[in-house]
Amino acid sequence: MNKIWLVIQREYLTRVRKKSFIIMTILGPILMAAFYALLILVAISEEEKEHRVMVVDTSPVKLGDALKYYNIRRPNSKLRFVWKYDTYDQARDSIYNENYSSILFIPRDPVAHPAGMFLAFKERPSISIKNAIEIELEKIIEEQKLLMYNIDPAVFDSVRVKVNLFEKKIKETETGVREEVEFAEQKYVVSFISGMLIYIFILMYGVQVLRGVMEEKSNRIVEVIVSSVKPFQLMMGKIIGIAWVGLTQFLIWVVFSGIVITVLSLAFAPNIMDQVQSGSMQTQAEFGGMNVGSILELFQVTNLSVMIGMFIFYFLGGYLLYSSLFAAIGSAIDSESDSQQFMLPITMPLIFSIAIGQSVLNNPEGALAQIFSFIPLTSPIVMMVRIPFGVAYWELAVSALLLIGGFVFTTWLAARIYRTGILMYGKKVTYKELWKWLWYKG
Amino acid sequence: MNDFIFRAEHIVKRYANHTALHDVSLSIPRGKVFGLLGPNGAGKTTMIRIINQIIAPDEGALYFNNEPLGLHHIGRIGYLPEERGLYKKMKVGEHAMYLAQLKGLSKKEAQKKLDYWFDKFELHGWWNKRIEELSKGMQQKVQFIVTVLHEPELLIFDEPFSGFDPVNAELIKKEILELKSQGATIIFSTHRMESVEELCDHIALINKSRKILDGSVKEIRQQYKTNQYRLGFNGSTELLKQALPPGVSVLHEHTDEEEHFLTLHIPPPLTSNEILKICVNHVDVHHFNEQIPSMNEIFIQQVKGISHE
Repeated sequence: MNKIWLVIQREYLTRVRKKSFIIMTILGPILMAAFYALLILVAISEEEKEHRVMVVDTSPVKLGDALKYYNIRRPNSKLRFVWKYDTYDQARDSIYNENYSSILFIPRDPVAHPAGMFLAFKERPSISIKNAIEIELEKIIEEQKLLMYNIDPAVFDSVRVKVNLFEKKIKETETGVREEVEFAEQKYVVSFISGMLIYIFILMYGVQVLRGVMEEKSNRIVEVIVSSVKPFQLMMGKIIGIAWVGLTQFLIWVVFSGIVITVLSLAFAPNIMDQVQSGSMQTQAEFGGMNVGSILELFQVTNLSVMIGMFIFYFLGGYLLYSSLFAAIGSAIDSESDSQQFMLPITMPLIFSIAIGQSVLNNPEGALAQIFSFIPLTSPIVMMVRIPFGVAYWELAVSALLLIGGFVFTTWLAARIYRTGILMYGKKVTYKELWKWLWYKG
Repeated sequence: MNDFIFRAEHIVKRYANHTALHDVSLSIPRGKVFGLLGPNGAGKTTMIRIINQIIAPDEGALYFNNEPLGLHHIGRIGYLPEERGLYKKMKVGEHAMYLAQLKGLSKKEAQKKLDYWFDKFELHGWWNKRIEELSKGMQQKVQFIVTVLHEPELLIFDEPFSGFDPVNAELIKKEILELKSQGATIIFSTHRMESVEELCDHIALINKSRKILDGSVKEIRQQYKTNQYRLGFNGSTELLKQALPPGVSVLHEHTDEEEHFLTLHIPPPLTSNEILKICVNHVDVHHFNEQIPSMNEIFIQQVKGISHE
């Protein structure tokens, strides 16, 4: 056991001392922070731009005039409607000489032919601005139609119902049931990020194991070492040593990011809160379906320490499972170019887990999600995606036990291939051959 | 003669498509240099890996100092494999410490012994350099040091001279003999026969996964001698030939400038002494010596003999 400890130490220290490790460890959170800052900057800068729309209204009753109420109703909005020209051609020809970004053309009878309306621009309106214009126009036409059919707008308003389901989760506890508010949107983000991170970590450190084993084989050091330690000890020492490297990096990142995010939150949060309160349309500036304020909420809605704990468990479990397979591949091949045919079947389940991640997000308690969070090859990613939405304890237990069983099995499998593979030189290996290696004695 | 440091009995190792070792038994006498010979692919390396417990035999038994071979013997064996290398990015000193500790030395012991060997091999300035900065020969020296550092009772060198220049090869040869004089037993695997005669006391020849020859170098050469003698002289070849008793045959004759050479076959019961007396009476003898086959000749003869069967 003392020897495996020596191997772990070497694997750990040589990697942690490398320049690339130090650079990545420092740069990681800085990149993350920069990304985060960029999100906020993009969101804020977008809010600051005014969009002036020249209304060219050719309808006899001047339906477009109703847009003036928008200007009055939303004095803080960056969307402004202006009037000057009576024909589209005039407005079009002077758009580059005057201060307006686009032209809204209203045809003769927009109520009968709403498709005749269009927006011509020199500066593309943001999606939210376009949405706002559309909503205003729809309202105007709606009003006209109500008049046409002689319906009282008050009646119509009371008929129209918008349903927005408020979600809460009922949880079973020892003292009965308890309700908990769902922050679905935020949970999607946490799910997605943790699933991706597990994927990246498993792949990144798994490949390090592969490279490490290949280095030992191609350097011809492996026979020197296995005359002192069992091949299994060498393999496990490497796998565990690299796992520690991964954990070290992860924990440094957690601490760093914690500090950086706290600082940034303090700096930007009041700003954002103002915008939210002012109720202006632009605070909905979105980035990948997530609004800026909710990034900050993320850290409040999820139980961070549980998430980190589960992350570490599923990273370690998934890593041990995959890295032993990577070690087996590394031992069997002579050069990186041979690795492709063996790499694919191993990375497939990883890529598959990410691919079904979307369906799991849509229905975190569905049968698909359940099945793949039990299968050890996919459970690290799929389960991490599910955890923010709450997973029953028995499911976690089954998944965890299967994962542990899974890596015990793959480690056993890998060890048998490894001990033969590391001593084989200059031979192209096939699956048939690997199968035979499994059954060699000792 | 019964003191064997290592015994392997009826070792069989099969792989999917071939048998690497077929009923091979070896007894390694203590304190000797034992040559494990054979052409490439004969099974030498498999045998050596089995001795080092890197792989397990399918059949057969192994004994170290008459105890069944076990993992606790690893620290008493030193192994320099044919396929050998080092971690290129590691520092020389750290690397040597790592390998020494894997062999079971404490940090302190390892440091002390490394100081001694690094001095001896003039490597001291290199302690903090990376392995990749060393020349090939220096890397081989480091490898040799870590093989012998823990003072193993049994040392196994697989093709130790490959990769060394003649000067360093000589240095290593000297060290091997010194280790022997200090009591270590050495298994020495090679297909280069010239070094065998110089170093080995005992050999086993493996060909096509079977042992085909085993014994002390002297005995084997005696066993394979063909009663051939080479005579160099001045005088009349014809006269001499007529004087030789029947039974003695001339295998080869050759003349250069002023000297004649004959290769004679002297079958028992005739002795070389009797024949030499006759020769001296007829011609002016310059030299007369027995043609003992070299290990190289025996090796080739044996290996070919088998393959012609």
